[in-house]
Amino acid sequence: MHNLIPILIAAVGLATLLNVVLKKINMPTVIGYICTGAIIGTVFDIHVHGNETLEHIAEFGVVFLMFSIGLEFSVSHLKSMKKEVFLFGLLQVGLCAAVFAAISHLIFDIELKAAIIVGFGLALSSTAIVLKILNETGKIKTEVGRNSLGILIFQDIAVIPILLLITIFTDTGRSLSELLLSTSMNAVLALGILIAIGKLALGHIFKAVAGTNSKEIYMGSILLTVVGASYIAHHFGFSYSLGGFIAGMMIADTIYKYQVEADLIPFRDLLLGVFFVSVGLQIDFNIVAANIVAVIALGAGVILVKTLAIFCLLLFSSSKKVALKSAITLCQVGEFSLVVFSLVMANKMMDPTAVQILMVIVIASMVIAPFLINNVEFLSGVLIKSKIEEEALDQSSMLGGHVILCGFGAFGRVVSEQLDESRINHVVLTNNTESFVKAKESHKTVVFGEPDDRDTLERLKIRDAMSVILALDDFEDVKKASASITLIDPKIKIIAKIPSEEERHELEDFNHELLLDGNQQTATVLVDQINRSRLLTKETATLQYLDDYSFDNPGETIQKIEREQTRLLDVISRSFNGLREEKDIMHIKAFHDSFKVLSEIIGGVITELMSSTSLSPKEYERINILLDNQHQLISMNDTLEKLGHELKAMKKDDKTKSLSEMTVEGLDAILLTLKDIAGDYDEDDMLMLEGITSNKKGGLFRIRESYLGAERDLDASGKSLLLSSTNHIDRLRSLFGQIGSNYRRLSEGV
Amino acid sequence: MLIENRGDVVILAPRHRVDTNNSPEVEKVVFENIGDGEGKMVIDFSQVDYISSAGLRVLLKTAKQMKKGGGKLGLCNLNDQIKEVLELSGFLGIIDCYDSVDSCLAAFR
Repeated sequence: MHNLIPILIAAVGLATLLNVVLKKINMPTVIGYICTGAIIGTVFDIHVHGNETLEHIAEFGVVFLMFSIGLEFSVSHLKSMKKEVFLFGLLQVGLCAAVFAAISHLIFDIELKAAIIVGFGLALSSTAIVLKILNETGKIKTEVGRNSLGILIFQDIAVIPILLLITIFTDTGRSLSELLLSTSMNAVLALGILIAIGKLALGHIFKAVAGTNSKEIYMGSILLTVVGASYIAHHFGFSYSLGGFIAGMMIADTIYKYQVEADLIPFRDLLLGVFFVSVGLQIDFNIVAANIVAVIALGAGVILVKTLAIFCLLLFSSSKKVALKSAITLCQVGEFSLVVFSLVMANKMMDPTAVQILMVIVIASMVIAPFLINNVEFLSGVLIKSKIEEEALDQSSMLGGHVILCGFGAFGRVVSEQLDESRINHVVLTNNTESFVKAKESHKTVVFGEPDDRDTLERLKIRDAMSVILALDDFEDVKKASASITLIDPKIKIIAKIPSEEERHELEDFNHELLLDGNQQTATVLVDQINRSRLLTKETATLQYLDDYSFDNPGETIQKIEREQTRLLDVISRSFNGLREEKDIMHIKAFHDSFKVLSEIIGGVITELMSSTSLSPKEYERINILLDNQHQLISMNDTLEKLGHELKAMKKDDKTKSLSEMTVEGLDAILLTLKDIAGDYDEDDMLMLEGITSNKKGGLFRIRESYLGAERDLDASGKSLLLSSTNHIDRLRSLFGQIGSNYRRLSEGV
Repeated sequence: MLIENRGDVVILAPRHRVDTNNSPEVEKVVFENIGDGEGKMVIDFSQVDYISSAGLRVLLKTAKQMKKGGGKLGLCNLNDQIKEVLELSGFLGIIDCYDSVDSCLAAFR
């Protein structure tokens, strides 16, 4: 082999460069890795075939991916998804294999046995690409995600009989019954060993390892579990990745699931990168160039046929749109197909050039897949016009979010009980085995993990959470968790228990909403506050106009969007009132949350309507204005959220207190004018709005001059706060003006 | 609220605060005195120490009416806090402010 170091440097450098560029244009890193492989393979003349070390390293990327998928799949979860896995999966593989086999045999005159294997090979999709993207975008929990995941799991299981089929077709030494018997026995043995280890030993091993409190021993034990299980599966003739999947499922039933998952992610992503580079290495540009027309035509054909087949079979259980989205998500051919085709070539079942073309088609489809999956909403919107209110309203289920309760000691338990009484959805996060068991016994939703582990917190959807409560006994843990949460997103609200008032100043740098001593009364006050905030969010974010609309009447729907959009100004106005009345941040956050939910729903309807072909040019123009308004309103809400924090801080300083109060009054006056214009347009009001938002007289120059001068004696942080807040005020004024101009255009009957 | 007429100019002098509680009353008095907005009006803030968004709205409506009618509006004797809120809200871009009633009257001439 070539000198490895320059190749590694070139590969890592190229992958980093490509991925930085791809991330900037919002494309998945998968493409960067595949391109890196293709370029490095050509430049250094490396090929993955025959290079066992590289093949094994690459395969372990998929093993780790399957392991992390297995972690999501306890045996009970798999049972709950039996329809998606065993029914949809079986039908998808069966139908696609039959169609592709028939086409290969009847149209391309491929020998029947080879055609059957080609059919099965093309029926498989890319677990690595699809699940990576679904996981990254959080779509794994949606109906499309469940359909895709179920089918992919069945496909991964189906790889075993497909490989067996190749052996049956080519092994003339043993009879079919012999082969089936030995495979069944191997399956029983492999599963038996893995399940026995999982049930009897794994929990004890991890308990002992967790007791050492050593991160590296913990990591070592995870690696041992994954690699060991894969080896056992491989030893009995199955793929490494199936072993990884089963190991994941075994850990899914233990309390260490989330911690393992959090620790594993860096390994998984790195190895997956290697896997995708190895996919790129298999691209032979000479074959691509010589057969470019065949590759493009056949590739497009395969994707189309597969999309159609999956769409048709899912139509029986899902809506048209979900069926189409699932079909587009799974329309590529996957990495296991490469393994199947490699065996077809090795066993000389087909002409080698034809197999090479097939492999290039597989890789090309894998390169295209991220583009298709990332644009699945747009593509399905173009192909199927439908009402989206169910989808839009689904999003409203995120109203108010959930509460993450870190710690389940005496205070944590009281808070949890109070949350239950108020029917507030919450998840307990603890790193204490005893607390975990107690929470389990009390039938709580509980996760075992470190409260300062960012991956664990992200997995608990901390960004969507209504609040995070740190009910931890050790104050050092409170500080560590506060730091981690602030790193994830400084805007996340933290409520923390502190041992005494003396520790309060140590947490000043973090975004704490409340700092409490740990008695029962404060728990009641706290839960009451969360509850009120939740009710407020639900009330404000309920649709008033877009609860019923139809794309058959776009004019009326546009009017409804206009009215619902005006309500966004009401929500902003109410958050102004919250600022004025010095309501707690959670009260104000409730309005920001309502705004986000409402604006997402309105944005969704606008996008859907934009893709409708039945709009007149005038209607397109109106919708375009509403879309622009939508962007300005979102920007307004974000700016206001930031300004709210600044004003709160300025209020604490006597030198800037009055300015903080006057800012709320001044901006509210402009907002009220804008609301008048939005509700019932009047040109005179608009002229006034133009006058006050035009910045003709130098913006807030005089205020800055006055407050930054020596006589005010503001300290550095006060000055920085003043600059930042006046910039936000300027920005808000400009946004008020721009939205007003949009209402003028709407009133002109655009 | 004190109301004074000097020639063709109406001078209004609200007191203490112009906020949600009394702005309807201030608005009523202002509009009784500006008619169709063709006249001249000075609002003297020498006795006002606070104005809320509701008060600012009254000023805006007044400015709008005066602009429509071709009249003149001037504010005077503003304390620092009120000057600040007028600057923050951008009202200084549409309403003229003066140091005293006399300077305002002089500007109207």
